[in-house]
Amino acid sequence: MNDKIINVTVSKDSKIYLETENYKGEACVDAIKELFDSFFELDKLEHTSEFYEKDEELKIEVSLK
Amino acid sequence: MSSIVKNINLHLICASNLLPQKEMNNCFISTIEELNLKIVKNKLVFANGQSIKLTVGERIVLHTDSRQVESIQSQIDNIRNLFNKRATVAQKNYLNELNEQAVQSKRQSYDSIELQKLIDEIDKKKAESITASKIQQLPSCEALVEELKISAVNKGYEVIQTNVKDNIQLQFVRRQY
Repeated sequence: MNDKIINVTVSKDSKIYLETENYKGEACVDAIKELFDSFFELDKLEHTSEFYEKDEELKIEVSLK
Repeated sequence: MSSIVKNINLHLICASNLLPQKEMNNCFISTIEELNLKIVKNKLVFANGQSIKLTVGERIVLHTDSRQVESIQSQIDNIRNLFNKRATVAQKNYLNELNEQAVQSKRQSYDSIELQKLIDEIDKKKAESITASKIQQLPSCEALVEELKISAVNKGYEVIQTNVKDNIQLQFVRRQY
């Protein structure tokens, strides 16, 4: 399974560039909000095409004996 | 890639755990009063009318658009420098209070397990504040990086750091098994 990754680049003047990897749909927004909510209020996001794809569903199989 | 955030600058004014929340807020309020700044909703407003976003929670962070940062950088540096002076004094008082709490706890008749628990809590707060003080003394960019790493680790991410030229690259990884 692909690990969920948030890449952050911080330049010397504290400029932030942030992108998510292996998230789809709203999950990436939620992840950024969760991680950065005590740093800034998220109001501007650019979405790539992956954002509009549905996130993988979590499937759990339970076998009853 | 799925989502991108860019063109923002974050300026760490106070590291987490440096001071209790109330003392941190008091230091910040007295700093901005001395510099004749105002807080309007979640924005810090300068005398010339410029404003930047402010996040006050477990830490204090200012948030500027990259296009406005040049014109406002010296004022942000003033805020950080003045805040640091006040916070240094406040932190000494805080550590003294914690030491006093430890002495008082030992004088009171707690059982040994309860006493050890109290002493451990006090030691943890002292250690966190001392670590935060070291972060606070770093240049703004490096301090911000350390705080981002702490936040990520606390939220269950693995942190991989690489330095490329003048940039610091952080990769926060949440393993999927």
